[in-house]
Amino acid sequence: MKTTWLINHQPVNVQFNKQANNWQITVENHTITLQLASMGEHLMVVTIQDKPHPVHLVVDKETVWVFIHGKPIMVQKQEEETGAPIASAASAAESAIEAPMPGKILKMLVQEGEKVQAQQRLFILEAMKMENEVVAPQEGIVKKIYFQENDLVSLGQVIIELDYTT
Amino acid sequence: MAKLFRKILIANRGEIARRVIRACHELNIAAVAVYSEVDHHALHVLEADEAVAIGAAPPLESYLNMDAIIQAARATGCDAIHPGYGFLSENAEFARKCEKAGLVFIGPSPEAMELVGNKLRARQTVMQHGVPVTPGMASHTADLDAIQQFADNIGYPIMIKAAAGGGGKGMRIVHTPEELAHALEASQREARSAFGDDTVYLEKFIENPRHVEIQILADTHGHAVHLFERECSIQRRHQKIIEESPSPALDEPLRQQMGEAALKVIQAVGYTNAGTVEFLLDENKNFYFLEVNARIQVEHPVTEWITGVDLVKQQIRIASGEALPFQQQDLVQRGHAIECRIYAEDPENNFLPSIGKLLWVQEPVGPGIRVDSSIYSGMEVTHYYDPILSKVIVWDESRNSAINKMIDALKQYVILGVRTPIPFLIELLNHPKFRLGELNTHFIEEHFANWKLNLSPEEQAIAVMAAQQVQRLSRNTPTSTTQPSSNPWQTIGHWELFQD
Repeated sequence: MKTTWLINHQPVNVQFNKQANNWQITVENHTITLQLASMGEHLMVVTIQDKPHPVHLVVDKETVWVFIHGKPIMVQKQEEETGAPIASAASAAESAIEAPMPGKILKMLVQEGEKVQAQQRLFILEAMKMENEVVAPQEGIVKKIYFQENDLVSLGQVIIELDYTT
Repeated sequence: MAKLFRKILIANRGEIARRVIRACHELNIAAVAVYSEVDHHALHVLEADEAVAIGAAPPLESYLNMDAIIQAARATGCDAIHPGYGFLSENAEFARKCEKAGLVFIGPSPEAMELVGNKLRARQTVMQHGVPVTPGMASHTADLDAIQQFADNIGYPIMIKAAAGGGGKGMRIVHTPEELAHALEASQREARSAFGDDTVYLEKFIENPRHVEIQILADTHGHAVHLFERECSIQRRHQKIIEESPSPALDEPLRQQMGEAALKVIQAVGYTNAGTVEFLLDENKNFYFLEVNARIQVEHPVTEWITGVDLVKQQIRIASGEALPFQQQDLVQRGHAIECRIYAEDPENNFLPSIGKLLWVQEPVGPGIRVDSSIYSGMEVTHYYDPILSKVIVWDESRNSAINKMIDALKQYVILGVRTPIPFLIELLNHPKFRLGELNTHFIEEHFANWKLNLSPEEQAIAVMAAQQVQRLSRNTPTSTTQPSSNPWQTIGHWELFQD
């Protein structure tokens, strides 16, 4: 999926690809494979070729401020030419429901083939003894479920695939 | 032994107010803060034992409001006032008003302050005591012909300076006789509007100088010591941003000579308390008296670290009448200290102030790292005051290891929401000429003109990936009434991913 982002106000073309637990990200002509882990509200660890990079961040409305190696970086998603924010277009195209954090699948609330409504609860993920409900971003049919209750999952792992086309 | 004060009012804000409050508490002295309307929740207000609102945000109505400050000191039963740096710290009239109100002003006498506050008079005085000054006019004149002739005699380039000057205001470099008349007018105009005094004078312009200053302490019993040098050559807009001690330019004999010259200056002007004598050092290691800073300086922690002397506590002790507890031969320079000033400013845009909300702050910690700061996440940086946020000071055994330590500390200093010079400072500290100690006051113009933040493809990828992930996570969590926030970064506590 190709998108345009602003890095410190400079537009760049970005393409994301998810393969198992790796992300392949292409910024302009550079492709980099990396893994992600979250360490709390304001810290992520991005690992590239086994080297972990601490990434501090904070969200301010449409802007994500990122701090890497002493460099502050403002990142914004460029709006599409139609004027609609890319975010909504992206969610329409995406069908994979991923784990928003590492944890344990406490309850799976849907079955394959089931029709779900927007905002319907799909599963409950337990992390740090807190239960977090993950919901369907929009109406669709549960195409595939990759994990069972009590499975441990990592950040970003695909748990459920939804089919929005029907 | 003289009795220390019971309660001190700190007529300042920001990191220096917090620094003085700490010194008070360490000496079992109560500290009273003052604050303007916008500083209601500032850290110096929260940490003081008492705090008094003194007026609206504009400095003239609050931190420069002499009567309001003195009234606050009397109302809270203070016996002394510490002015910090900036604001009223070098204001002789304020020192006199304090005296009249029965309050001790923690600083030099108003007379000494007045004498060193006029650069031309200070120059004349120290010259008479055999301290070298840059070739220049001994007095001022409005006669353009006389000025022109004088400039011809000492040779171009020359410098025009405001007698009441500071911070580069009223300062002009003139390279040719043709530029002189115009520069003179501009300088006078600037001096008049900045200081209310358009007296200017001429000096030979020293090419590629270093700025090297000597810290001194003088008690009221006639004892004075110097606490060695600080090299402050790394400046932007005539303002220091990196200071260190020892200076890579000084050897032991030169250090001793400059220390002795500084003490001569102090004696010549009858100076007491903490102060700094500034010198220019030319490429042939000749030094010239520049001016006296009659206050505690921003960069004082550098000296505190290499000497082990707490300068703010000494200021308080001296003002209360105590004698210095040490002599010159007791003082040694140990290891190497460096300070970096962290301003809210944009290094990509001529270091212009960058105001706004500090969205996320995380300060570096570790052995040999000191952060004198007054910021926190969520704090608003306003346009009313000097945009200094904090200072990072490191100490290590050698200059090179101290530089390395500073770079690591800055890489861990997360400030998001406003621009800071942190990425610029990291590059500067790594510059081969800086590593070699080959510094001069034009270092930044010479090596870093039009500096831009450079992001590697890897850093760009990391930044976009992290941003995309945060936004994606927000989308995949419910927005129903059971969970008030759709942002998992707000609803979820600490969590980790290392079990796989």
